[in-house]
Amino acid sequence: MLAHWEEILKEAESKDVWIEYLNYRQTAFVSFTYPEIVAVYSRCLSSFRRSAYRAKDAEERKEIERVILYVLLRFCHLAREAGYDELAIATVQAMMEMNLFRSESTLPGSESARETELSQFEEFWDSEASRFGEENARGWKNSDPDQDPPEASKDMDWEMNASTLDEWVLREIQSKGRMPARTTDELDDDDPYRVVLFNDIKPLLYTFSTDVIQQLPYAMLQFCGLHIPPVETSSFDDMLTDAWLHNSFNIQELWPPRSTDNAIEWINGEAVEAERLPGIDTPFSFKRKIYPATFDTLFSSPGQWFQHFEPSDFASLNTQFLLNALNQLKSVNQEWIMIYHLAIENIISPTTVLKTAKSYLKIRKASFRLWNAYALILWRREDPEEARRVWKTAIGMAISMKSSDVIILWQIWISVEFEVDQKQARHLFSQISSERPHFGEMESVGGAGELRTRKYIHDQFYRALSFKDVDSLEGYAFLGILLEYLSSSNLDAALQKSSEYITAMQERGLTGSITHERLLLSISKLLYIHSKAQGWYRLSTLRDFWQEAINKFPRNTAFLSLFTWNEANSRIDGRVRKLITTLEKSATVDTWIFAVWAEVTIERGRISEFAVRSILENALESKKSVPPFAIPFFRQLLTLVEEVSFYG
Amino acid sequence: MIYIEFELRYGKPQRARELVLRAMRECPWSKGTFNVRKSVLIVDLAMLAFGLLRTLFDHKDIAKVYHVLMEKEIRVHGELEGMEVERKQIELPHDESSEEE
Repeated sequence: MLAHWEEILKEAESKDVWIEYLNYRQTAFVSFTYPEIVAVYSRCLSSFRRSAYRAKDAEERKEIERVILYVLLRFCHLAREAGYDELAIATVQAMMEMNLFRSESTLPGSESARETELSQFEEFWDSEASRFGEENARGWKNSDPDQDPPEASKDMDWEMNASTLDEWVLREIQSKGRMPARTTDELDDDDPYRVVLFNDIKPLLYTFSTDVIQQLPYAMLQFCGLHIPPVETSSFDDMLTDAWLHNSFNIQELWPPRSTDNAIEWINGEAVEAERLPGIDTPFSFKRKIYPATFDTLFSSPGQWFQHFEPSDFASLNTQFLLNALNQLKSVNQEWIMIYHLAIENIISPTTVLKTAKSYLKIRKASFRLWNAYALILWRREDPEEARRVWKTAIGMAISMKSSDVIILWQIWISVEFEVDQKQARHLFSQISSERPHFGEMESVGGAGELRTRKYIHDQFYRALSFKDVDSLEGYAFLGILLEYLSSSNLDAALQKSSEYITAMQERGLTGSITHERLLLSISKLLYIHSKAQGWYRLSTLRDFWQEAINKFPRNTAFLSLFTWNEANSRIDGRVRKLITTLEKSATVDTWIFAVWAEVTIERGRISEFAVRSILENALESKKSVPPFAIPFFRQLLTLVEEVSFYG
Repeated sequence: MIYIEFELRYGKPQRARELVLRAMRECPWSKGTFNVRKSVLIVDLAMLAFGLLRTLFDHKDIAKVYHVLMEKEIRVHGELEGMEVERKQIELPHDESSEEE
């Protein structure tokens, strides 16, 4: 079999063949050894590197570099899962240093140029200066080779000889996620893998020369355990649902508490089936978060909407490394990484986040997205006055700079006001079209003024559509729908407006785009708030909307969650199962885990062991038809089977 | 009563044990830990045998799993004593799926 593969590789060193080969080697039990698989990955990377250097244009090179990043990241996961945590971490550190903190301006375009650059990097690596993500790291380009290495840290006492199995297991658990040690450290053990030497990482390193480099911070977050898509990424992106890269996840609320309800009730001496009770109170408990990152999902209040980051997501992460890393990325100056930083810091270090936000605003004064994030953080902290002040200032600035981003500020401000006070939201609407909005006195809403605003939003939407200004387009579309809802107090009118806009977008080829997905998500929030606040609505209205959303974005677990939550309130069983059956053919690992979750939660206290097993076995069966997801897929599902078994 | 008897006869714990071994065959690189205390699932297989599921694995099973880790050069921190088994015992059950798949 191996020889056969070698033949194939000799003939075609294509991306697909290599990935298949990696899948095969990583899972072939008999031939598998760790050193072997490292050699395979190194060879694969070297082959892609040569292709990248030979690429005929930037587009082709970019494609190859995307694969290089994927393979690298996958290797880091593999190394960590095989117990080589230090190597995995060091590889990520080196990739970040080499690419984002390099001083050399010419990018290596050949193996020999790479060698030259690597020999310089080796000096940095061997100097033992602090590295990316560590305290006081200054970046490769700022490091001084003559500087003394940092003080040796004292290793914690490490008892190498476990006399009992329990001690051994405990030590294995404790060693998880350990940072690489330094040659200068006083190590109590003689474990050769604690220190990562330059030669260990050398075969893996690569300097990116296309804008794939901007994906590196996201790859780093992904490696750290935060599965968040880069901002312009829809749920169709394969990296997002790639099972090789997403093996650990937050299982809080995956399994419902054991029920104390009786399956049978006795009425007048006769046994009757107990009433069905919905098993989910909110649609937000499924934690495989496959949906676009938006201001809403980044800065949401707990239990109010989908949240990309929640405290429980960080429970087993190295938060110190994360914070150091994000702080060091400041110099890289990527707007959305800054916003993600604020969203993350808002959870793990809420006392410092406002200071960080201000420091970002200092260097990016005209970033209205940063202003938005800052105002939102204040708003969520119950400081609405200060938040409003920030929005007012930012809107004033945006108008005077004639920035089209002004609509993003309006959109977020109005939607948060809408969450608490519809009248206030309507008042703000009346100011959108103004060159000089006055926020002071509350005007009467409705009437001719509102008609004007509607026309203004309508015109702006179609203008943005014809210029393909997608950001503004999304803002105007959402505000148009919201205004329709507010002025008619009617969900159907709002939905009619939304289908009008979506049809218009469709005609411009925007179906299935990230803009489309984000807009559906924003409208979903409107529907959710309506159902919570109004109490009266037709289940079928929501069902139809989310069914349509799932048809367009079948991997999006927010739409799946909302659909399921809506059905949990319905008396009729089986729609969720039916829906999931239709998704099976194209199911990702997340879809399958969702299917299990829906099965165990939709009805309180009733877990059909057999149904769960059957879903899991079907999923395992299906792996054969989706090779890229194959094995880790299997692995995650099996662990779920185990959990189910614990349940019984 | 019939249901209870059914559960006793077709007890699930044994299933879990078999699944661990089945999964190890599919995912030979995965060592790791199974950490549920922090309600975060870090899916790592081999350690299941040593940790959470230990009551289901007898000494011989554990020795087998340990030897697979050694053979595949999966990294462990320090040796585990008392794991001497004959080499021929190392094969995992469920060998029916072959490398040729």
